[in-house]
Amino acid sequence: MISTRKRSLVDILRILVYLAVLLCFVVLAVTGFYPVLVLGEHISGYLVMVHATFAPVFAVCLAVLAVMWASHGRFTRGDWPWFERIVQRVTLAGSGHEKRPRKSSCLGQKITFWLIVFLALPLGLSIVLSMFPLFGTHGQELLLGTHRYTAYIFALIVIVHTFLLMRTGKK
Amino acid sequence: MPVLCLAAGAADTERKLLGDESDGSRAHPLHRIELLAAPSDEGKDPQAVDPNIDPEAEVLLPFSTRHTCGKCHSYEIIKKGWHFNSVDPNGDPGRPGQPWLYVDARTGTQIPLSYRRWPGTFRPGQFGLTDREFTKIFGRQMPGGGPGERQTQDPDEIMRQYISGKLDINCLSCHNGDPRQDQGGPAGYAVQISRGNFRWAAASSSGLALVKGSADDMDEAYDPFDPFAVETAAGGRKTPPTITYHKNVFDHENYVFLDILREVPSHRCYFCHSNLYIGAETTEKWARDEDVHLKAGLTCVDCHRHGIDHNITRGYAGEQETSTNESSATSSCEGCHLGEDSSSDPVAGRLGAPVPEHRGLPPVHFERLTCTACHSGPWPAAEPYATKTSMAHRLGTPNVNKSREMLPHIAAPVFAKQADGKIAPHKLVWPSFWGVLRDGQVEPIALETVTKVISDVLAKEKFPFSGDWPDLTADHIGKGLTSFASSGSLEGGAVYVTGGKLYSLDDSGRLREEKDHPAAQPYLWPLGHDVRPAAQALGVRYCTDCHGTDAPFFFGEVTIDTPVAADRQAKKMVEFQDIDPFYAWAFAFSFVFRPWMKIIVLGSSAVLALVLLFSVLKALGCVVKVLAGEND
Repeated sequence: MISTRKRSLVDILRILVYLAVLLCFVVLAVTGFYPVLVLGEHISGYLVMVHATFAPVFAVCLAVLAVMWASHGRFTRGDWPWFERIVQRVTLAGSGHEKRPRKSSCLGQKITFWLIVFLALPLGLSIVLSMFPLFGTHGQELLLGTHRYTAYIFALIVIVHTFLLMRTGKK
Repeated sequence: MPVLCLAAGAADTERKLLGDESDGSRAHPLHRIELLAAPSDEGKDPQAVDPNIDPEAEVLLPFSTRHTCGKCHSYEIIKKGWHFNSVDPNGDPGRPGQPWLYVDARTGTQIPLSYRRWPGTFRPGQFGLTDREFTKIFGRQMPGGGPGERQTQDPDEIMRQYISGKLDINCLSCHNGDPRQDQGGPAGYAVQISRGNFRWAAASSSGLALVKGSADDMDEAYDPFDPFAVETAAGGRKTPPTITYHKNVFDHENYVFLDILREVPSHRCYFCHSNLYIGAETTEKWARDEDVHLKAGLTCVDCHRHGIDHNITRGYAGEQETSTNESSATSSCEGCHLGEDSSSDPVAGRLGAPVPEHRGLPPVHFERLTCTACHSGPWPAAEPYATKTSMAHRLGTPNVNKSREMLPHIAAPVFAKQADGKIAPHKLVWPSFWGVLRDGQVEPIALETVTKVISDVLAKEKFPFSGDWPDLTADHIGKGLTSFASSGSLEGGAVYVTGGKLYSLDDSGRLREEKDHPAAQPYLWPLGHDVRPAAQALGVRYCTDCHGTDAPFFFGEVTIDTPVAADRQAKKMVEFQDIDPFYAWAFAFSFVFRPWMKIIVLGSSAVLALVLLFSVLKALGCVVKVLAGEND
């Protein structure tokens, strides 16, 4: 997904938005996970204010990023051999005639990209819907649980995505 | 047929009396019984009241509830109940409750007193009040028992107690269904207490008899059981306490019918537990609604229950941890509306209680707030309401000063953090009293000494007819403290506690003030009623009901109440909540942007959803092409 050609304005914007998303993600992860995982209590105080301040910025940037990177994240024929290879490795089933995948394919990045876009929906909606008088106490707890556990998975995928992106960039 | 009672002493707690245990019938038992009077000597048997006695040979005595009711209901068990056990050193004080407030504008005194070990209150003895003096002042709104019937150890009071009698638990205060039950009338219970007619109080208020005279007016040689003494005193200038039973009270067998109610009607509770919140406009009780539970058809005792032990549930969350009352867990707001988690059977929705949905309310509120925070008391205003209570302002008794400014000054609702860490609405009073500082602890100076010393210091001051504080200055306090110091009667340095400050004299005799001394902190007790309907709960309109930058919940101004005019400033409500005021303001301010946040996140989610949808549709198109054999 990272090209070596001369970067256009859109490319620069795309990178800036990505960096903004990354920054917001770090802030949200720290403010969200620290009280829960380290202190063993609910997010509160100034942390919740910082969390709530960065959340809409994160949401906007993520939406922009999705629009900008959606075409790059499109699956192509070149991804198929990579997909087959992953399936074979996971299922330990060899077809006997493995094609050598093209080096330019970034299947991992694409999959994590679409997972991020997909998981961002329950992540954001779960907390915003809880702010409307739609759900009772049990519904609220369910939404909070959804937000929390989606955030865990979301964070893991973002880390994996960033790792893959950095590895590709180095190569 | 009269009710059969087992012939057993009331003190015999091992053996159950007839009325100690129900046979299960929900019907009301008939109480056609004989009235029994307390004997002059506690070792003797009680004597049946006979209205036809010869007054020259015998004294017509008031009936005693201890003996009349105690014949079938174990008095010794009942007296361990919440309303009577304040003097029991082993009694569980439970959550801090309403203290007795002694006020005297002429000495700048407003002090919370309680026999219970509630932090911030003083025991009456510390303030120099004997049980008898305390009962005379506050017994008006006590159902008897407690300090009123404790045997005095004070030699000066032994004869006075003999004349007045002991103040038995007045079962009829609560359980009498007779509309003539008179707690606050001109000859009712409260007046009899103030006259020292402890022995006569229950009978006088029962609607069966009329009591005249005053035990306090009698000299210490007076014998209320001696017909000659009574007759002689009656011929004098002052009237001895005498009772006249109404005609037709006794039937042909000298039995009386008592309309005893097992389930106490709420208006009986109201005599001691009324609240008046005085707003800027609405000052009268008809302008405010009663508790929503009462309007739904419940009574106080539907939730505040007990058995023969009278160990009534107070109804707060966590009470079951110390209470032996089996219904305490299900009598709190949560217990009734949500049910008890540990119960094997479903218990939610008792008495038709709706299970609340709390739509849109983040669950963290249930960890930080009590139910009452949003649902109880008057809707919070920019300043807490001047609040009057029956116990503090003797509401419902004769000649009450109805002015708004009448002491004691109670503010409510004040949203403060309570011992369990939750914020709850409280009533608040700022203590003002003269005391002695010893080892960092402040003990109030005895009332008698204060009255003697300070009345002289403030003799020339004007005291408002409204019952409000006079306007004192630092000079008055300095003179008062100097007077105490020069009297030489105190062991320790004299101090004056008021308005959250502790005033004392330094070594050079100059007035020194210390802020935030523990003894000067306000006394707060949680309020539970009146409960408002859900449609009037805090937050029903929007989060800014509380999380507004000027919302009373956090930023209401609690005036510091003190006779020192210069010190009457205000504290923000948030200062009672252990919350950083800037944080509370900043958090409230963030709600200005909350609608934008919702729009932004919803809009972003819509874009993400569209990108996903578009991509999925596109992918689906590819799949369809492949399946259709179009391999390009």
